[in-house]
Amino acid sequence: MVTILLCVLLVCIGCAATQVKQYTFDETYQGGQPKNVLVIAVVRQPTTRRMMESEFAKQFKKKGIDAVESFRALTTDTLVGDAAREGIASAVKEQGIDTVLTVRSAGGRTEERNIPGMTITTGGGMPYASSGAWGGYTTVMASFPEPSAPTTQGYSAEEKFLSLETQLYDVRTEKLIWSALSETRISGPPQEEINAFVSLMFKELFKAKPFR
Amino acid sequence: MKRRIIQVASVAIISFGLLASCAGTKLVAQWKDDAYQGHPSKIFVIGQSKEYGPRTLVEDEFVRQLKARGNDVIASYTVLPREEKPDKEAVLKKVQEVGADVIIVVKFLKKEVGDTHTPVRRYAVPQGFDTSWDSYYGGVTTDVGVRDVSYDYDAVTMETTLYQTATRKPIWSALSQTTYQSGGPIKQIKPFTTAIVKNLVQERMVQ
Repeated sequence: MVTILLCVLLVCIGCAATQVKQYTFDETYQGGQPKNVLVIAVVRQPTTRRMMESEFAKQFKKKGIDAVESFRALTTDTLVGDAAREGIASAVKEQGIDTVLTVRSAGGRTEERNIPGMTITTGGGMPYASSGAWGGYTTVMASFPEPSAPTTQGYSAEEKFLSLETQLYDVRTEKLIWSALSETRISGPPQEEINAFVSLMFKELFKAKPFR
Repeated sequence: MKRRIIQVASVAIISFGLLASCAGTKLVAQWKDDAYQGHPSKIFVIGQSKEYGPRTLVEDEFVRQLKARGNDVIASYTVLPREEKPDKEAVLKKVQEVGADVIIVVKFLKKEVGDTHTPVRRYAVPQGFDTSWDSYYGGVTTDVGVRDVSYDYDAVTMETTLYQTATRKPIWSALSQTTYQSGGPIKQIKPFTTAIVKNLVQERMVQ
């Protein structure tokens, strides 16, 4: 039973859409846990930006850390250029922010996979095999080519991956204190991956010694 | 004959399933400000389009559907000038003049053309499976071929955002994708609006 659970767990980990490729951490940082975080998702699409910033803010609040989304705090709608920098500096001062978290795209890639044609043979007798019956197990292993043999054509499929860089800055020193580079496999609307991505980033972030 | 009927029926069922699953409007992403607890007393609808005609059609449909649910709604084209594009401050001034506390902005983002197809598959189905036990092993199998099913479609991506006039901040927004095969985008305004309004009602953003 334990073996099965472990196998299921390993399969789940292997299939996770987001994986952390590398992370860095400033070991000289002594500031401890952040108290008030400004969350900035540098995403062009406003709904996606709000979804990501709100999810980060929600997770921070769950840990008892104040957090404010940039779309609420910044007076400017754009996150590019001098206006953005001034807007961030002003929000940091006004709201007593001590840490800034930023998420930005670090590129993407497409991988082509060739799926060969398949003929699947279904074993007979599976419905008759009761649990623990060695006879039933053998029947399943020795599959019959008949009665069903679905045949599929070979095809190629594209898999898209999006890399995101998540960084945490200390406002007082203006230094980078934590950074993670992750890659997310996009198999549907990218927004569907936001919650899982944020959860993973939190897990990684709070593994770091000063934030534990 | 029986084999032919099974083939035709399979193709028809799969084609219908594919078309039904791909047509219509679906919300691909949605965000809501959990802190917002208000109910709009008057809604100002803005259809962001370079062309005046589609803009009025979108605004009218939103006004019609929201009014039908008991909301007080006004279309922007009835109070904003047609010729020149007003700036943000001019729009907000007009919104305040008419007493709207919530603004709905419907924005066209992109239109894409796509195609979907299902490759050929063959299934060998046993005959007489349920008539006698020995037919399972020695019975004849029938190949049911499912042909290549392919079709082109158009997909329009829109973003709809609700703003609170007092704070000028968003309180709800959604990205939607409307797919269709024929009839042009104008015919999709009604089902698109229905999908958005339905969601706004579910989220208790409007009545």
